[in-house]
Amino acid sequence: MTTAARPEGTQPAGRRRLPARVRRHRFLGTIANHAVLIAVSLMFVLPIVWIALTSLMTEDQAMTTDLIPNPVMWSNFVSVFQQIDLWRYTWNTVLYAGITTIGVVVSCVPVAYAFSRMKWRGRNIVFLLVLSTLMLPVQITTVPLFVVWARDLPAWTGIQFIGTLKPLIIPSFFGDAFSIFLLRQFFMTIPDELCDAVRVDGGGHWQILRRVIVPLSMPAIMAVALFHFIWAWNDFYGPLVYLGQSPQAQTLSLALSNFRGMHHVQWNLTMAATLIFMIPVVVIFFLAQRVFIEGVTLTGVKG
Amino acid sequence: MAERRRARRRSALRKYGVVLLLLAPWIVGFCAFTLGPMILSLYWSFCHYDMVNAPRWIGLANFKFMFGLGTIKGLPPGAHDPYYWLSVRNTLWIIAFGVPLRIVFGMLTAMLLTRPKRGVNAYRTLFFAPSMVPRVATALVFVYLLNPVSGPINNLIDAIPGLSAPLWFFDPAWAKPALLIMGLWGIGDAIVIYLAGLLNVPRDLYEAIAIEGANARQRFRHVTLPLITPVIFFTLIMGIIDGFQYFDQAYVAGNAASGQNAVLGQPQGSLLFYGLWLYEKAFRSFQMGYASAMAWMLFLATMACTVVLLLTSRRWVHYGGGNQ
Amino acid sequence: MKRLLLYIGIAALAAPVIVTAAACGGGGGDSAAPSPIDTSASQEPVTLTVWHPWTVKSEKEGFATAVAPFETMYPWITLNIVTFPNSDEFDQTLIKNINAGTAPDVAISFGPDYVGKYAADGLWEDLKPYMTADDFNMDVFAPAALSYTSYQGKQVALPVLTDAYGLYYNKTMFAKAGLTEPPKTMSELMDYAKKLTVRDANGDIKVAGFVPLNAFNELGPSDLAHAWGAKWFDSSNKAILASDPGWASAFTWQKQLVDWYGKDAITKFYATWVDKEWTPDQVFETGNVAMIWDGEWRTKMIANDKAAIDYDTAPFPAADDHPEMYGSGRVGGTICGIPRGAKNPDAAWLLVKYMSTDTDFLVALANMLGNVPTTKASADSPDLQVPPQMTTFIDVWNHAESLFQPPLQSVGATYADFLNNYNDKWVQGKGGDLQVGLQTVDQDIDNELSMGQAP
Repeated sequence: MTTAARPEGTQPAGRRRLPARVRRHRFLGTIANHAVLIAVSLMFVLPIVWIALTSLMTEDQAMTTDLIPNPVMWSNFVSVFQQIDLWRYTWNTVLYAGITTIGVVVSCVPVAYAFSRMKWRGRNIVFLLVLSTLMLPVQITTVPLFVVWARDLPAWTGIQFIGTLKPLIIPSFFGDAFSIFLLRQFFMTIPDELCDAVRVDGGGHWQILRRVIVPLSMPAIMAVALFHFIWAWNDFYGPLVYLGQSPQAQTLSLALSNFRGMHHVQWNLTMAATLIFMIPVVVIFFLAQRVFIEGVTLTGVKG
Repeated sequence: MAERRRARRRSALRKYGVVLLLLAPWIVGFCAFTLGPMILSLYWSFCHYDMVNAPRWIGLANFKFMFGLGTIKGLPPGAHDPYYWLSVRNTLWIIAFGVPLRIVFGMLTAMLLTRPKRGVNAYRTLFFAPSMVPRVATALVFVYLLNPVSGPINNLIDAIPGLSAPLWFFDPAWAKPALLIMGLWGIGDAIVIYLAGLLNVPRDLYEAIAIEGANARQRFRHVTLPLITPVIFFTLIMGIIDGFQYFDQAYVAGNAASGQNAVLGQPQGSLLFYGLWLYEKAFRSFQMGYASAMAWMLFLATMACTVVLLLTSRRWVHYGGGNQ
Repeated sequence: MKRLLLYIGIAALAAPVIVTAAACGGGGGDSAAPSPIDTSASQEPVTLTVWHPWTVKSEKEGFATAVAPFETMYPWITLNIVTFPNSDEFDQTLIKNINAGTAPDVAISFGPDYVGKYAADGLWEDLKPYMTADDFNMDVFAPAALSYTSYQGKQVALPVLTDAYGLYYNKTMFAKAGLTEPPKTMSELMDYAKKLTVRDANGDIKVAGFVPLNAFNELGPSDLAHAWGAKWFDSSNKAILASDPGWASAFTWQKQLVDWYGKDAITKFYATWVDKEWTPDQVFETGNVAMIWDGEWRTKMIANDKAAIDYDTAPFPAADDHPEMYGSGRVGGTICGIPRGAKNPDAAWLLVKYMSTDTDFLVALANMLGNVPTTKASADSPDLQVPPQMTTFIDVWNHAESLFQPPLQSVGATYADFLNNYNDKWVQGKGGDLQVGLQTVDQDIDNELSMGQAP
């Protein structure tokens, strides 16, 4: 496309200055827009502010309508660690989230590759099957899986599974439909020429994966890893079913829901523990937000 | 000729071998963690099984008890599970109100975000962050915030003359609306998707219709709306599928709010969702057979909804960049 | 080629089916016949794993201290004490572990809700052989103990102290209203409740005379019905909530009082105080309620919290036409037993016996927790340091009509939720016709029991 020479004295289209009335109208519109957005933002932020304030109150004050903590109990964040074994629960959660993330990435990349970079009969049908597992209610497999992990596998192998993280971690090494979907979508955008170049050099699928696909897909792989890490960090149902037995193996989500004094909820400490539980997620999110948002967009818009 | 055919077959065999190898993790996982358990739970749904004794075949009794149809041996005719339909109604309620709320508010907020030139990223991050927060944490936060006496939200409401604040999680009529409020805090991921969808609408379409003299509402109806139907469809399906499995927040809220422990779905069963009742039956009453029957009904319902949505989607979802 | 794929596919799909078919096995595991340990002879060292639900640090430590003499008595036994973090799901967790083969030797549970299941499914050992071999008799406890530790002839648990419930009343408020004696009948209770209620300027309840709502500070509809001597089940284990007139009378009494308060007002009052039950701001301790149903541990809490009230305790009133019920109440609490699959059941029995009957242990624990001592020796012990208001509860424990509610069933105690949920609806005026409502609850309970039966 060539740009035609512009006659002198004229301005390019779109660069004309708009009449003052329109400009003022637009300006007020922007202000109004921002005002609404700020109001909405407040609604999103206020809950956090409130619980941060509550986490600094004494137990009695937490049950009153006061907004400002008085005295300010910074020690709450220490008491929380003394009251329950928070370090251990955090470690368990890190283990759970970390190892399953590795498992998901390692197992889903080859699978997504087969669905995107190779043509074979039945490819679409099997992919639909993979996707269909997304709509399986988790309860339909949990009940039997629980019994098998709890009773039958120990009977066969002599290893204990319930009360450890094993029933949660092991399945992650066998693929995950959502991650397969994300990766496949991304892999499909990689130009064929790059893969052909490797093939011309005499490389097989493994070489293509190693030299072209994986390096180019780091954004998508990062997205998958981050999504899964946060999903596992937040997971409650899995730990509830499999870890309720053992005080040592519990994760933060489970420990938090159990966080009570003898019979009642200590709201100030509970809010402190909640903050501690939420903060890593929010920090990771802020550091990697673009990855997240692109990942979400990839699924929602191009899905 | 035969040579070439054999060679081709060998290479095809090799290719399928590679495919199988690449797919192996998923195939093994699917059989072991999905298909196998599904078959087991299907079998158990026709049995009485309490995990202590072996499963005992009882035919359709579990389903009869669920729906109150027919006669079960040893029980009066019409005997039924008093909470099954309650849990179904509660679940349908949260889907019927929660999903549209999510779509409408998500879309409105996303539309607000298309206008400004600066600060969009900051807003987007701010809105998205709460949706990443663990659901257990969200539930605890809102149980606290919505405490009828000491919670800040009720204090705000009570400060407005003429309004009397509801008792939220202490009132069966207001417990589910409280969950809706909680859900609104987490619509950030929908906002992000809608924003991307809105920004994806080609500008020249807007210019084309502006030339024809359309106003904002017509612009929305004829250009924006049709072209964002795919994202709406996506969030609609995901919202419904998630809604059927609604669990974490209800478990925590139904437990923490009222003084009673170990009773699910309080107050008065208003928070007894399908997933909660299933959990109760499976892991507290140890009626695994009945719970398996419930799980299969849930699966069938989810599938039916998804299929219906997929089929009817052709009518209203516009794919591609078709011009109007 | 395609056939090869087909075979592989079929194999892949068939494998899990075969595997899972094999998984449809039942639980097994039999236990050896108990052999009493000759405590004089030298023994192999044994470690007993004990699970208990006391999560509060002071109680955890108190229990460890109180049980330490056991190791001195039986030097070859070492105790491995494990605290369980979630006492709400303690029993369910225990059941899961028993099925997985990882059960402890001794389990201590806060409540006997699951004793019926433990007995019917053989999840806890029947202690009778041990008791016979050891000349141990249940007479050392009050007769009420049997109502929550044995089911269908199997004695699977023993009480570790117990809870008993009765009426607490604020003497200052009584004096101000010119009342000297605690109410002994339900009509007196209602009268006093109305007299002692104070409302503030908006018409909200400032001080309630007595709050008759389900789940308010331990109260349940069956506790009210107990005043009329109402029973849950008949001799053929069918629910009789509709036919036993005591239930209807209790529900009617309850609704009368709720309506007098105004159901919105009393619900608001409930919501204000329900969270504070276990804090020093509890509704009775802060003088916001004149009379309340509560357990014996409240006496200890009042003393610990140094609550500024002048109070006394009395048995909960009985119905006007059932004076024989006066002096009784709900009892039952912490129990201990030996789960199936325990590695050292014979040694475990020694611990169970110790925890349920050893006077020093019971006294130490009672002093710490403020629970009711279950044996005569512990109740009469001079070392017992409990507030004087505790005697009411010891008497309630020993009363012939006291028992544990809801009655033990093999499905556990979840069936009681049907009654509680109906009661909640009933007091809000949404319960419809009382007879029909109670009949529905009866049916639901019967169905639940039938559906949950072991083959």
